[in-house]
Amino acid sequence: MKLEDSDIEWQQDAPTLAAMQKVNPFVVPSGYFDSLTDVVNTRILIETARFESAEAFEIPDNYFEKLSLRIEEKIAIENIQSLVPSQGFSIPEAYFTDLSERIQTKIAEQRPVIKKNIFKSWISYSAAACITLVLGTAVYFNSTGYTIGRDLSEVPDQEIINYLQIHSNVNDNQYIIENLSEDGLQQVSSDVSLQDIEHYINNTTL
Amino acid sequence: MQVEDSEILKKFAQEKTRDEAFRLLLSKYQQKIYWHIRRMVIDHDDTDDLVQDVFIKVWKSLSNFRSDSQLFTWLYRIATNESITFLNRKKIRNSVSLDDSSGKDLIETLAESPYFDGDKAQMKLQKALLTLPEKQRLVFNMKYFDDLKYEDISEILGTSVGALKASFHIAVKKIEHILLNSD
Repeated sequence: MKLEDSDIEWQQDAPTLAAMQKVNPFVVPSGYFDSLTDVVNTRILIETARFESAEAFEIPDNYFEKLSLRIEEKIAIENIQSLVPSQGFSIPEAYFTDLSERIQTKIAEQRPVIKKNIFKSWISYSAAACITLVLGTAVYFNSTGYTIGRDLSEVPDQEIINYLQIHSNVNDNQYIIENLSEDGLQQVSSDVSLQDIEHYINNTTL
Repeated sequence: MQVEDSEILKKFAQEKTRDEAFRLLLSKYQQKIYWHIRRMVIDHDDTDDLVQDVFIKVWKSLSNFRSDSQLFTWLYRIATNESITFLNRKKIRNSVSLDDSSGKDLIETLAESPYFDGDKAQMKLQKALLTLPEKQRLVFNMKYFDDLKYEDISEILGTSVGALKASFHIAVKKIEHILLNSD
């Protein structure tokens, strides 16, 4: 049977259909085909980017080999949990309501009491007092400008001479000689007679 | 003047002219593919989604296309498969038995479509078509509306020319019967 024959045949078999005007009754939104090329190209761009980004992700080694096993384990656990929904343990009513308060009380009871050592504190106070006294004295004398030399300048010369005659010893002589000035030394030697010097030497033991 | 398929394929094979080739392909075939899908799924928005899906598949697979078949029959085959897959999913969603045609739901879609501009006779014809099994409807659409040769339809559907002729003949008789016996 030729194709043309076939066409003639169906037109004979279906005269109503053959008599109908062959038109496309469907329509599309205005400008649809004008934008379709751009729409398809945009979709392709998105698809390409999605494919490339999917390739950029890495997975751990042997991830898919172990995945089915991990899923089976998870299912098994969920099955067990569905069969045994609770662990079988129970707690007293309102247990967790006052649990925090009871723990705080327990902590407070077990907190160690600190005993004060009176002896230790006495030593500390004494040491502090001594340091304060020493420092205070030093500061006082420093601030008042007290010196031994200034006190001696206020003592009359005759009292010093008398004191030295009564309390002098050999060491004092050495000290006096060392501290006499050149003029003083000449004055001493000119004021004392040779007889007095001889007498002194003879009666003084070194 | 439309560019030859061989020219499109030649340009697509080269990285530099690939985008240009695909634009040419879209320009040449987008309307044909749209109407082929639209007659099957009826709804414009569903058709729009499927057209985009089809051309994305074409973009991904065109580099593997072998010239032992025609480009347009290859495009029609992809569009047909996408349409059938969509209708099967729709059937499952609507919990309709696989033995029934999906016409009932599609008839409602057709009746409510804002993008149907036919007269009463055209509506009657479309409703009659929706009572046909999908494969008969495909054959009828491609033969009656697209004027494709049986050889080309055979290449698209992977069915022998004889079987297609028989299928078309049955479809025509069913439609004629409906046209004569419905209000």
